Amino acid sequence: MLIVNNVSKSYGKFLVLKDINLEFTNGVYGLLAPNGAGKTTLIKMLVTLLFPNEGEILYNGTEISKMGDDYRDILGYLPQEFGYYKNYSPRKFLHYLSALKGMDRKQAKERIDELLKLVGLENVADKKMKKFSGGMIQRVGIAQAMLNDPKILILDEPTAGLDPKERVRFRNLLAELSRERIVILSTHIVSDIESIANEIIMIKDKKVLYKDTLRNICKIFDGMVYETKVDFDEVSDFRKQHFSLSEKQENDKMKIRFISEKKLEDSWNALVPSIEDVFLYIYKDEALMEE
Amino acid sequence: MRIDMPDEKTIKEEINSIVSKGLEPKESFYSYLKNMYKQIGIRYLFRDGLEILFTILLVFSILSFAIIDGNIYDVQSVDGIYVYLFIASPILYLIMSVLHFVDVIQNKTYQIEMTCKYNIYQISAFRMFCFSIICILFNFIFVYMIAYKYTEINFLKAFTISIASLFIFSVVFLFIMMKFKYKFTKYFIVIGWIVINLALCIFSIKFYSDLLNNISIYTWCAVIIGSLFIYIKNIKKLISFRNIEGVI
Repeated sequence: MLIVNNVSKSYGKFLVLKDINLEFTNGVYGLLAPNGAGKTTLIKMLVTLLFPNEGEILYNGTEISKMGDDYRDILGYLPQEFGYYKNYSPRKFLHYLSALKGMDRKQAKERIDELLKLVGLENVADKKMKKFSGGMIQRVGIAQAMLNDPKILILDEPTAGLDPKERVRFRNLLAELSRERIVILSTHIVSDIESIANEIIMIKDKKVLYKDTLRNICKIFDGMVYETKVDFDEVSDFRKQHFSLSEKQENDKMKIRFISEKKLEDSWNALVPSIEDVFLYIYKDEALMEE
Repeated sequence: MRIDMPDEKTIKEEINSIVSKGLEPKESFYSYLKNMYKQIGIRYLFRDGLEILFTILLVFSILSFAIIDGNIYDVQSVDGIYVYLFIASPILYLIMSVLHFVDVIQNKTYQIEMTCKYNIYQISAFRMFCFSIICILFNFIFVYMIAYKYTEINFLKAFTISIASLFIFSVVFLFIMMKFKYKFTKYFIVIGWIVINLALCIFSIKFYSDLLNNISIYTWCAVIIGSLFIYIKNIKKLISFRNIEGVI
């Protein structure tokens, strides 16, 4: 079990995370927050690239920074910015990393063949990576993270650059892998974790806002998500009164999905809240700031 | 229920048995390096082998050219050659050690390689240990060449100055790497070695060469032993080094 215990992290005087408490057992955890909320900082602390200013991170009761290579031995990590040696082929690069991971050579060879097939790169396994597309590089990144069959698999924005087909394949792969390990997936793309995450962690104002199942988080917004059709000239006023989640033109009117604490009109259709609705509403201040 | 107090021997045996079961045996530095070599292999420990070879040849050519064409540096006087040796001896070590970090930064593989069982610092410890052996051999050949061309040079003295310089620099280099957080400070101090030495050379070569020449071979040997001891200690530290906030 991986435990984050009262962890705070700041860069100089700038506080990024405050009093973070989390517990991870086997399964997929989706770390969902907009860019700049501290997702990558939390992940870097979980992989010992950064250290907390306060608190501790424990794996089976031992502080991870004290475990040293014993911890790194059970860790698989795909960073947000995945670096590689351009003149290496995926096979050579994976062999190089398997050596750094201290894997047995014969075992590594079998595992690399298996992984290259799994991420659909077996046909280009010996081609230099400098000619690869972003999606192909990302797949090499996913393969390297799974190389040592890690007990803790941490992926920072893993689907960036993947096409829809590759995303589906990746999600299925993760769902299968998560049965016997902790998988922590950081993303701001809601659909990535909607179907596979056992629990979702949302960070807001430097703290953990929610850590719960998708269903329970969505339940909080039960009876608050509606849909209605509004004339085009009334759309602007409507937006001022209610928080619009999505809009679509339909039969000379604007179909708006929005949030309201009460049902004020009969013409409004109540909808089942999705995690995307929750995300948009919770982080509406951040979105306004970005605008 | 009454339990008899065990005798001293049994107590000692029991304590030893608990400690040996509870604590993992501490691996010695050399067996750690040996295991790392076995596990990773020479091919990946020196994956930039061609660049290293090229660096050795390049540094060797430049330094040799400086000896052959005596006008480049003030090597006409014997004392000046000792100064030249003191400044030039750690250059190969510096370039070879920095090469790996530059490669990792350029390819952005730092984060991945830092989270592997053998991370960048552990690999660097192994490489630096090997580089110091390579540099000793390199300096031996280099000093031999100088002593061959300038017969008035005392080979033993020149070699001890060269090795002392190599290990003094190595100790400073490792210290900077582990203690200083900011990249700029690191670069500044490393480049500072060459700049300060050259500045001393330009402003008062006599003072500098007198300083080096007044030190006896025995003192140089003591300096080598002392700095070698600190160097090995620092290399050991590098293996378990907890990096400072992801900064190389």
